[in-house]
Amino acid sequence: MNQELWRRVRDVFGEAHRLPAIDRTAYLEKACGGDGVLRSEVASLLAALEKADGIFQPLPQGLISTATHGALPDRRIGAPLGSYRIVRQIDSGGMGEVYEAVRDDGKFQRRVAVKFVRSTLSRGEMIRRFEAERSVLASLQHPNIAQLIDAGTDDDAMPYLIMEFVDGKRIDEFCDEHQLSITERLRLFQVVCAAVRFAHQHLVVHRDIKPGNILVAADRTPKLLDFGIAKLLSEEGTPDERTRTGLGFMTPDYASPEQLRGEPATTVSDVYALGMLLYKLLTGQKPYEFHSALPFDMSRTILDTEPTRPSGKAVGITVAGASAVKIRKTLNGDIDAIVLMALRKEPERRYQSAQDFSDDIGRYLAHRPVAARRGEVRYRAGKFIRRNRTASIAFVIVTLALIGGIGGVVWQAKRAQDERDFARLEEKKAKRINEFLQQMIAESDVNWYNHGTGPEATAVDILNAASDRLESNLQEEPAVKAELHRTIGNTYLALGRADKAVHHFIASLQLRRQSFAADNHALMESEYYLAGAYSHLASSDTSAADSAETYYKRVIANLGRPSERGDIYLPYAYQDYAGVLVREGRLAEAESSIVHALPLFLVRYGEAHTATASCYAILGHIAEQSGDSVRAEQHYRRAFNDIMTFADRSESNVLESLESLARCLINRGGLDEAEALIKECVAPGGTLAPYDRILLGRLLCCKARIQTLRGDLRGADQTLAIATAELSGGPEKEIERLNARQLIAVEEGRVLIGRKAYFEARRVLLRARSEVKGNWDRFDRVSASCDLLLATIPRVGAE
Amino acid sequence: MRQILVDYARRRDAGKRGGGMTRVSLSESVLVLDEDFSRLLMLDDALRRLEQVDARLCKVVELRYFSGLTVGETAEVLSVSTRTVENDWNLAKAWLFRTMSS
Repeated sequence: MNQELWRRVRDVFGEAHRLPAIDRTAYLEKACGGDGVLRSEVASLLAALEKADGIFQPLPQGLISTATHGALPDRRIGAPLGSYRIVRQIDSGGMGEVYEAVRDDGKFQRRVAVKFVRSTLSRGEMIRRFEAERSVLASLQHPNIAQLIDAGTDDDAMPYLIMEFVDGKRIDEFCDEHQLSITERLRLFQVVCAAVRFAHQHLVVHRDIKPGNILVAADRTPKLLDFGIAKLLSEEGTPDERTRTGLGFMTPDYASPEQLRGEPATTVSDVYALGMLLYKLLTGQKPYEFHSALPFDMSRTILDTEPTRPSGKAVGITVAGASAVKIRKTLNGDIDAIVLMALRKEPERRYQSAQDFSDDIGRYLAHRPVAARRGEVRYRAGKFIRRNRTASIAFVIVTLALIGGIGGVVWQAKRAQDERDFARLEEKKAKRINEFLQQMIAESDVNWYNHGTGPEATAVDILNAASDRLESNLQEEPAVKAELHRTIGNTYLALGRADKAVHHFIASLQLRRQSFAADNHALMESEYYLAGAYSHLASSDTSAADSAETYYKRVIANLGRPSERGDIYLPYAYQDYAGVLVREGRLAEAESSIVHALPLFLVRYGEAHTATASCYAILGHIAEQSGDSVRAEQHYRRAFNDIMTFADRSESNVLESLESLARCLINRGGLDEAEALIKECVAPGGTLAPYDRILLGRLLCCKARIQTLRGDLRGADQTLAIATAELSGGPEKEIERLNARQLIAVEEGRVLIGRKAYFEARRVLLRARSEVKGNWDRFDRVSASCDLLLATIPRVGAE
Repeated sequence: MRQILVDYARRRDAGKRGGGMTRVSLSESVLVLDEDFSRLLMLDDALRRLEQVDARLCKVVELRYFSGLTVGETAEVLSVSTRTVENDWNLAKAWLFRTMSS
């Protein structure tokens, strides 16, 4: 059936099937006119529809593997544990299960809390840490800290902690139940601060301070639970390191920005958490507007937005005899400043200790000027300095990229036929280029300060200014102008703005066409760059894919001539062209292109080189997409191993090849190896370039997937939170970033399914699924994963 | 998902020849009948042909039936109206039934 007829069948059927059976004939008569073929086709389909209901019988759910991990019946209750007997479960959370137990030796009964801990750590490692920390924690004897009594392992070698049993209410609930006034709340909070200070003096950081960890007894004595426990369980670090991030077991909403970034938790991180706690006690709310309860959304909000001041929040607490208006008035000013100071994103700008925090509250209560407000002006100045620091980083990026471009000019000069003359010419050109750039940077500099361009002024803005300027300048020097267009294009490309790059590469190409013969090398170089820029756009724009293909073919045709033999652009053109073909799913052609590139690279560079490694990576890609996971793994392994042998390997290469290999291994069930590789290659700390952070985010998705598959959902949560933090900043719409976010969402969906949070899981997966636009194999992978996971979600009711 | 189910069904189908089993147990809780598998393979076959005629209809079936999306969700994912999804779903159903029973 031809397209046109089918379209009409579809339209007529769409209307007709909604009509009562009795009206259909008349409708068909009218809609089909004299078209008998159309009418009989639609009539036949309508008849089929009447009987078709049986064809979509429910899929046998047993076919669908579910990634859920079922809960085992609780065998612990009633069981003896050392000299204690377990009575009931009190709580079950990310950290593990908490039970009430009693010691009953005939003379007196003692109630204790027993905490079985869950962790990503091996049992052995956990026990080792317990041994190391036990004496420190046991020495924390303070009336407001729940005492650690003992620790051990049960018959299954599961580590547990025995702690003082605290009979109390969560601090926030306690405050509301007793309708404490703001002043009473502040005084209670100061008691908490004193306990935290005591622990800090004993070199113990809590790392997970939150309302749920502070219970208040009927006599108004607050007790902090779980001091130092987060550290025992944190993944990174060894017992020798005093402070490490304890993010693993925190809900991200109380975690400090540095913890979310995976940096070490310090006493000042506890100050932040205390600030969050106080915020909750005074407003009944959290300082950030979270759009969802998903860890990755939450950490993004915490890292990227400023908290609302307490008095700006709707009042969510109950205070005896005080109206909402009165409460807000009380909070306005000093208390706002105090709380916000504790919540500053930069640790060095917060109160430096729980004591300082408490002291400032003391000043407020004593009606003396608070330190938090003295700092306000300086804080603003600090922000300004920060902004300018961003600006100077932007300058560096631009300048480096541009100077890199000039380096290219000089390098080209070396390969010229008449080397000396050409070099002299190039030297002059380079000088002109330099002048232009200096002027451009100087002007951006002036604009920056004069117009207060703001924090959003970035390298791209500066580049835009340069681009504008170039349009109307250097008319009489096409060679210089062509070079600048190419350079600016490259810089745009480096900043992820392929659309702008295309414009400049075209301009450069046009200028060069005026002064060079068609087969000139400089022209080919321009075409190669232009093809590269187009291929960046190819995933969202099919015409760009066509353009990329056209230019790559031209470059290959020109450089493939015998006279150009050995030109290094040729294998790169083959390789990049293969990349475009892979995206389009033209796997056989892609493979053939790589087969052309590989020997040329091998001749040029020898065995292990980034270029050959990239070839193997693309071959792995091709195999993976053709469903040949065995060969895919081989190729990916080769690419990864090659890259790891280079002394000067870049982070990008390591991360990219490792992610492919890990993904392949996970799909083939090699969780242990994938985990070991990730652990070996990715160390916390250090700084990465923006693109590398995206790659790291993707790799962390692999890690989270392993954790989820092993049932460590909390671990997966924390990994995804870190992944999200890596993706913060930078242009939102950037396609790589978008894709990485989708991967995070997929893993988040997997975790939620593991938790049986089906509603949320559906929402997350559907959102990720609907963001898939355009034609790109990475997007295909996202939609395939989403569809697969959605199918594992049990259906609730029929529509 | 469709691919995974179909691959599984096909493997079962291949392994079954020779043996005379009528029922296969997939997990402790669920028994899957052989008819399920043959139905699935037939459906896959028909879907393959439908894809040649109208790829969107095939996608709608995959999302609705195999991935369990609602009409609204399918519409969102495919960026079309719910009315279109309903039309496509019914047309696909009719088309598949006709193909499978001929």
